[in-house]
Amino acid sequence: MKIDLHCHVQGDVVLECINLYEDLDREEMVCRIMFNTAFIRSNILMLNRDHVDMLWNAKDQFPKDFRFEVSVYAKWRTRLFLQYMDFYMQLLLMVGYLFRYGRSYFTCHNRACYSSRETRTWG
Amino acid sequence: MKEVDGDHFEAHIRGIAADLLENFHDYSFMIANFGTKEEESPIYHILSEYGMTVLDYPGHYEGCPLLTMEMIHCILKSSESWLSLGQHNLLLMHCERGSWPVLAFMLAALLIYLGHYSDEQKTLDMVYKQSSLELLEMFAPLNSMPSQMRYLRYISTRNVMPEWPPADRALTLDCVILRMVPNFHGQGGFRPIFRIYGPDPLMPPDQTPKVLFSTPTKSNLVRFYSQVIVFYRVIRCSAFKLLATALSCIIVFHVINLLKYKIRIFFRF
Repeated sequence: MKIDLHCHVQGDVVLECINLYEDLDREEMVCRIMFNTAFIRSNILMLNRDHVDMLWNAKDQFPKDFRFEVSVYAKWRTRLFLQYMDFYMQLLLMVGYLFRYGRSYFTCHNRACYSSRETRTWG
Repeated sequence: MKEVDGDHFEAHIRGIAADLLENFHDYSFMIANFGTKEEESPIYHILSEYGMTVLDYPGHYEGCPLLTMEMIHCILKSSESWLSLGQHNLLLMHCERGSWPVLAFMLAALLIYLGHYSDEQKTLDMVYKQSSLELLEMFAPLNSMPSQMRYLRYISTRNVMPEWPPADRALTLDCVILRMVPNFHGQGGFRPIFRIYGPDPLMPPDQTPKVLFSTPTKSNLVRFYSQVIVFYRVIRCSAFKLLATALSCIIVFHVINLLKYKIRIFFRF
């Protein structure tokens, strides 16, 4: 079960998961996590039921293999840049190569090539 | 830990201050006071008269009994420098009503920061054992030890990281994935909404926490997730995976058989 957030954050962040009753009015805290973005080194925060803050006696309400995963990525520009970095590098190399060897790129340097053509035309 | 009411509070604090000055007359005191209120605490006015330095700190961060990393770092650094100045410097920690979890966390953090303890869980447990669990449950509805443990781990990475605390980093919380659904309605499921609090990344100078995200309660995003249905989906997904694996196994088996047959035909044996 996946729930989209798409929220930009920085620094100390509190993420609360709240249960809404049927009347959509009353609320009850399910779990809460607090973390600092500077210390997150991976793209996913994997938390089991011992890693989230919950009500004192609510542990039985969570199944044993409960997993709370928060998928994060660095700000979108960085992410896009990283995603297309390979492409940019290739483009840069190609442009550089064309500038350096552009003139000679379409000309043939193989002597055998010329000589055979010459012999063929003259002979 | 003692709970003292209004009028007796001042007399109580004065008594303690007088006791301290009598027993430790050539010592200097610094008091870190963790409170829930924004304004100056009463303890500040009382203890200033006795020549003690009182530093006021907030008692929570958006309802979570923790402080911002910046503030934690500031408190730890000032405490370390105060304690290292001389043998006659004492650091006292005091909390106002309901801020005991923050005090416990900061004490554990300081013990780890100074290198007296290394195991985060044991240190936090040891500090929490100074008070009864009933008192803790009375003041804090949630058990916030997991988040406090996370922050203690951040603090103990100081020895590993070349630069501590690391530079602030902007992130995007993409989505939340729940593998199993907790049972919250008594109907085997729950109807989750999410709220995110933190400083606004688009306004870096302003560090006050705000609501950054909140699921609108009157929208079709609010859905009931039943344990049975999610379990069924998980089973269905794994069943599909199993089926796909079996199919690919069968195909590979047939291809190998075919190849064997062709090879036999080709070499005529």
